[in-house]
Amino acid sequence: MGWVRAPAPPMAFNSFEYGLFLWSVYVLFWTLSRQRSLRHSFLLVASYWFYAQADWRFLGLLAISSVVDYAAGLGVERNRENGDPRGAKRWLALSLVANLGMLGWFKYFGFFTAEIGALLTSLGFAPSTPVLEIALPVGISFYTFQTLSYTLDIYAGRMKPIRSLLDFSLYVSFFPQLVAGPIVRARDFLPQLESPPAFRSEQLASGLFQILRGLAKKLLIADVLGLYLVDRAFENADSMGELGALGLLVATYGYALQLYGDFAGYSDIAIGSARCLGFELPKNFDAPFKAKSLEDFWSRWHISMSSWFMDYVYIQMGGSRGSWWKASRNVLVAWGLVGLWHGAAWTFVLWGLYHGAWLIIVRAVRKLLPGGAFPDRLPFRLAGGLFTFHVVAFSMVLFRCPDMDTFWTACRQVVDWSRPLPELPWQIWAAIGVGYVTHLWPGDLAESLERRYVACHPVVQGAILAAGIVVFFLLAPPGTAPFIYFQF
Amino acid sequence: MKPWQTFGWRTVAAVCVLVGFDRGLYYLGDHGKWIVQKRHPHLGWQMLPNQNGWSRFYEVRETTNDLGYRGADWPAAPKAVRRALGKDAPAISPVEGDARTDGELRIAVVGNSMTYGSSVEDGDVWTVELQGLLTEELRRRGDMRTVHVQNFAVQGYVFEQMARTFEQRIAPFLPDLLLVPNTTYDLAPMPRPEPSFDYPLRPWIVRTAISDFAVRKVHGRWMPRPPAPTEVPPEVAIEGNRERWEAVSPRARDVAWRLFAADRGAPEAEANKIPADARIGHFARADEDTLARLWERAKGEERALLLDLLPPGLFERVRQTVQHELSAHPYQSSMRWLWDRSAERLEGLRERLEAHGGQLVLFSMPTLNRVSRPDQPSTSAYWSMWAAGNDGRRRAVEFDPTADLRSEMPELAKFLADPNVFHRTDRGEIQIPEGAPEFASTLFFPKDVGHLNARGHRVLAEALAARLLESGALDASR
Repeated sequence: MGWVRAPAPPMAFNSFEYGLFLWSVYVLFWTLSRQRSLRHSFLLVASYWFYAQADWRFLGLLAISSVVDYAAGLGVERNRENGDPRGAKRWLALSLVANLGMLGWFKYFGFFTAEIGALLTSLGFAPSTPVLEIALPVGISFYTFQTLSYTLDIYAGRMKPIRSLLDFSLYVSFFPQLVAGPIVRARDFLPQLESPPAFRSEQLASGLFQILRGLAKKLLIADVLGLYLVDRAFENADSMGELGALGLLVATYGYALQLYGDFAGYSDIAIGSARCLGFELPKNFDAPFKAKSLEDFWSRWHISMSSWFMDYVYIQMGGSRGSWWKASRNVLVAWGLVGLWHGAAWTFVLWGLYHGAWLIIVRAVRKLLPGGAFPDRLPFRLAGGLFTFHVVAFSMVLFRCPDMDTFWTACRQVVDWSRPLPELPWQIWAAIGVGYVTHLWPGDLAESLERRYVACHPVVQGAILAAGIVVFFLLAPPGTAPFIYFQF
Repeated sequence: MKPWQTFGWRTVAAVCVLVGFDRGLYYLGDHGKWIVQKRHPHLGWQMLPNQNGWSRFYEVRETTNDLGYRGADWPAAPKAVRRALGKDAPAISPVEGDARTDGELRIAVVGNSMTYGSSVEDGDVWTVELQGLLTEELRRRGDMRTVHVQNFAVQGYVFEQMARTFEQRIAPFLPDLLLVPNTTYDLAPMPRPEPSFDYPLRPWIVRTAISDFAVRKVHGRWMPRPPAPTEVPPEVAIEGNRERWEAVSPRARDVAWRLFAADRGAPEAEANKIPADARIGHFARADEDTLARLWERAKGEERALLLDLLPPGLFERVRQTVQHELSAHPYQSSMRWLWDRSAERLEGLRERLEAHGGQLVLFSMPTLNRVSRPDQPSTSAYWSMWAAGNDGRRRAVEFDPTADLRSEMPELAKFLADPNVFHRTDRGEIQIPEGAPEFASTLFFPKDVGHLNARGHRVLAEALAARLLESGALDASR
């Protein structure tokens, strides 16, 4: 029985309606750019309207989260100034309870009650646990973490609270990053609201290029692989059982690329949209499959989330200080929580613990090496990259499997080399080939293309934009596939 | 340079490229010229309004009016219509007031592609011909009423969709007559509308040449075929069970519960002890296999009642099976429930129609099979009895004009009585061979024997006009 219903899909970044929405917001925003309150009010209304397209009933949660943390920020600061650390702690507790309470109720309550019920039943009791089917508010995992980071930063003295509720509400609900990140820190975003935005043609061109780049990743790579390969392979234990080792390998490589294309594509469009409006959002992906180690991978993949857990959970628990056991415990707790953040299911928790366990193992091995590190030579770098990629790709099997039954079937497939490779259309091979080649291209291919695009005359930029959209529309699978990460 | 100016250049360039590409595909590649449909949450699908294009296969000009039906705009839209249809109401000079005017005879027609007029020009559709013929004949008889025949047919509709069209679209027009052509195909259950099919802006996007090019030349040929829709997971089926249970009639619930309890091996007396309100608690957890077993167990009318309780995947499988059986053995007793289901539905339409002084007219739509094989049973076998009523009061006018069409192509009809004379294409389609006797007299398209050609429409209209006049349904004194 499902206890959390997937959120209603928001206005997709890869839809025509979003294109129209962004264009309209752009024109009005820059028309109002000289009047601060009007400009920010307009962006706030546009962001709330954008959110309401998914489910207007959850606008209240967004507003509550904004108001509570706005007040908590001021409360923490006032008590700190008055020399009352206990009062500051109380305000911090309010923020934690409100945000984690909302997250816990909507995302985890049903899961834990069902698990406790199952446990009691297995022990011979007949519990009457409530069975709730709660719709998950879209983006709740992202915006609650944003607001929490604000209060925690103020508590830690890393920033001052903001006086304007309007500005703070805009920070929480800014539409490009509202639904699926990047998880923006208040200290990075709020200063951008202080001064009037200065329009720069290069910034707009760069934003448009980011949007095109994101659309290419989403439509040409992620959607093709998702529809024609991954969704079929990972549908259930039966479909998984037909793959064999070779099929599983291709499906896993495909899924790794799909997940990257989908999420990095989303992030690119988010960053590009914000850039068109004169705002800079933090980079969320940095060619993660080029990583030479697992730590390196997590500094390149979903950077805003991994750095959040690093700063606010792992380091707060003591980080790598203390004994090996203590440091390992901290790693496992932090990664267990990373897994749980992704969803209320044991597969996600296992996925997080798996990464934590590998980080511990790699660190332990490294300690045994002379100089405490692997030699910085090409064969070692290549081996490290391949090893890291396969550790990560295997974890994605766990991430993607709909249930543990499918996952155990996948594990059995690893040793079944008797089956031939399933027949696949050439378009899948093309998507995998193009995806990995452009990703692993030496240097930053996208950056050099972006430089060339920005250098073009605006008319050429507009023509390339339109031609790109037409080509992507023609080559993408029919229909609008929702982004994977909006459900988290 | 000001922001809007900079962005303006990019916008202008992007729009020019998009429009240029679209128009290029339109004029040079013949894309985006076709009449297209959109999904409708209640009717299943309907034509997009105000289109002017070619029918997909036969390069014949078609138009849809501002309500999305075949042909030009209608001359009258009463207030009630505008209220009922809201923004979709015709934007033409309406007749004030809800009642019909004395000087008008309003005939509404439902149907599918045969009545829509697939592959014939707007002016050749039998409904247009009928309007002309009736106007002429009534004037000749000194009856000066203006005849309006409004064609509400949509390609692919089955009877349930026609009934819904009446309820949603036709009823506010308060028609004098409702013409319901029938074939055995119409009895099949209506496909459930797929809410995911449409997306915002689709009505505009789907009309573009780029979209047409993508669908026909790229996705249809170059990209692999998308996988079949996945089976509904059990938890979704359970959730849907509850919603469907609440949507059906108490009678349907009783039947479903009885079958469900029997499937679980519970004696009837014991099953009946469970109060009606609590039954959903049990039924909601029925998985798709259980529901499939209930369907197999159900007989006759029980199937009609159970149909709406089936989850989407199972429903579609059942619908296709029923459609297949219906095309093979429409008059078998095992198919009787489909006829009775339609009759029950038609009874509701009749009552609503008659409440405003309207009358129901049924006729058997001539198909090539029946035109060429007089020994074949007709839908009139069922509907004439239903129309006659069982209490001495006639329910509807009913007739079968097939013989009129047969008399227009007697030699060809005789020749085509042998199913082996047809030419079969590689794709399994049957065609009338060009060497057939009196080939030119055909009333059906030789390469699309399922549809009447322009001459066929004309002959059908003449036959219908004669039968309607004969029946007295058009009498002003009625």
